[in-house]
Amino acid sequence: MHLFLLKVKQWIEYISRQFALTGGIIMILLALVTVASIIGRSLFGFSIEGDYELVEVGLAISIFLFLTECQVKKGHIIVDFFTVALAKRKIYFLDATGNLLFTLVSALLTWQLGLGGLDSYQYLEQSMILEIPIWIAYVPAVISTGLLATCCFIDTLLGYRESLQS
Amino acid sequence: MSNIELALTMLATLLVLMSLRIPIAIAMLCCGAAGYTLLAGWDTTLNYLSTIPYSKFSTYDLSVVPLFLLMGELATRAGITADLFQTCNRWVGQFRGGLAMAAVSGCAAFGAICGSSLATASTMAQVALPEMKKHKYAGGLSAGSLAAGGTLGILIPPSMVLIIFAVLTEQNISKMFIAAFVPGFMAALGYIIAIAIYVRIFPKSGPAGQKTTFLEKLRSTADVWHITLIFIIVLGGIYLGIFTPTEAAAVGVLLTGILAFTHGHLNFDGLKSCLIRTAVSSAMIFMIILGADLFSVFIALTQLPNMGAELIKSSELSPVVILILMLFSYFILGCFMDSLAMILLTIPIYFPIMMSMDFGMSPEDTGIWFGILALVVVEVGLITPPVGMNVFIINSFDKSLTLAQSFKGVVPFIISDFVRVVLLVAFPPITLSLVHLLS
Repeated sequence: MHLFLLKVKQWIEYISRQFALTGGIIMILLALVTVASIIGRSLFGFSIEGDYELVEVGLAISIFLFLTECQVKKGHIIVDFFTVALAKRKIYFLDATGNLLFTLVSALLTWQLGLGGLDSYQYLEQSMILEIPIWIAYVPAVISTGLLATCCFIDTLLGYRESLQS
Repeated sequence: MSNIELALTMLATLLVLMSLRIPIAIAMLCCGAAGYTLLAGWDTTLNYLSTIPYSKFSTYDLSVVPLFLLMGELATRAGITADLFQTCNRWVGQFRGGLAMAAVSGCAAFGAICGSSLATASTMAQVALPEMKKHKYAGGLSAGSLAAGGTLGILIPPSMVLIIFAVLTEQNISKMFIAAFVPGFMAALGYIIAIAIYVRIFPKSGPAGQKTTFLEKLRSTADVWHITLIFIIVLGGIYLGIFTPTEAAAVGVLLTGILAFTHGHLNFDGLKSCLIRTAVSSAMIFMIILGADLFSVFIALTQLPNMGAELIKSSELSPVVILILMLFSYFILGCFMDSLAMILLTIPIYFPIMMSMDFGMSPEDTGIWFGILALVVVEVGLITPPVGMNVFIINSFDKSLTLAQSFKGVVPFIISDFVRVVLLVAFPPITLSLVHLLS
């Protein structure tokens, strides 16, 4: 069981890294589009239409793609001032509990974003100028939060185990 | 339980969860969701979760967060800190404590293209610490000047904390950046003065370096033309209203990227690690923004801020006293908490109170002024014990230095910070004049 969890964790780490890199590349592309739009506007008198919208949709997709990598790299800010002196065992226990809460929150998010995406699809919600269907952004959002929830769940199990064993 | 009691209970729960190593973002989300559910019902909370995450994450103004983060990452790999430090040293090296002054001014220049304190402190330390050691500088002075210099990373725009403050309170990011310029410059100058006084009292702590001719100074300045150019284009573009902050950040990413590839010999693997680090920091910031939003929606619903404002009105304390109390609370919170989390936690409560008081300025001016004051005060937390992150980072570079020595070395800079806060509170035009001039 333990080995299986570690194996799954490895897969998640691999996928989340690819997700984060994809999100990063989207950010670079957005920067390039924005720069192209500025150059077009100032030199040739035309700007890329709806570059604001591309930035908005792209930004949301990128951020969702970034979420799991932050959990994998333990990037969330914690206050460790009051718990410095605690035994390792207790620290593991607290961290696992934090991960448990995060599992619940991210599972809830996955579920509700799924519903939100469906709503957006049914109501044909789209951006003003480019008419980008908004539901497109919900697909990576749901997949990412789902991956995040799985990752947090595994971290919870591994954390409690660690706490019991040390 | 009345609404106010509920708000205070949730606030207390939040603080307890946070002190138990629960990530700040998650604690805010949980407490916000619980409180919101108790007040407005389960369905409303679920509804919030289905639509608000997308709309928050797709906020146009927030796109500057990942872009400026990426720009900062690329800047740390552009191999320009050594040049910057050398140039600054040519200008101020002949004074007593010159290397420490060079480190501070190098940090200021680097801070103009990097919005993070830790990155600024650690990249400059790699270059400046060995140099100071070689010239027999006192360990405390070197560590103190670098830790304090690092705070210029967030004080001088672009600054993550300022961006978040602006988005949260619906202020204009460009105007906030303009407002931060003079206080940021004052900070750098204040630190240099602090060093000058310190080495006058303890002459052995920082011996003077070689004199250089004016021609040498000019020639070395030409070495840093690239960073100067990026600075002028990016911040100049924002200040003169040519670019929106997002456009400036996009241009900045491109230019620093080119610099990192050509001058810093960045390769594809390096770029990947820049992207991953940007991803981690961005996700961290956006999760806190989401958590803080849910929490502040809940707090606003309980009417706690209105209640606080009325309580303050009836207490007949002068607005300035209230302001000082608020700033003091940042100083206390800063002993345990990260600066960004502090801003996000307190602004939903402090900002409405602040705006309800009369300082004899327009609401917009009050907002900008308060933002800069809050920024300056939360930044002090980065160099005060027990969790002065900058001091820890610098200390980890020099094994021969104890943590106590490093924190002692920071004292002159904290004094300089206090003087600056007093000046900024007493004279709002220091912050606001440039904003009025340019708009």
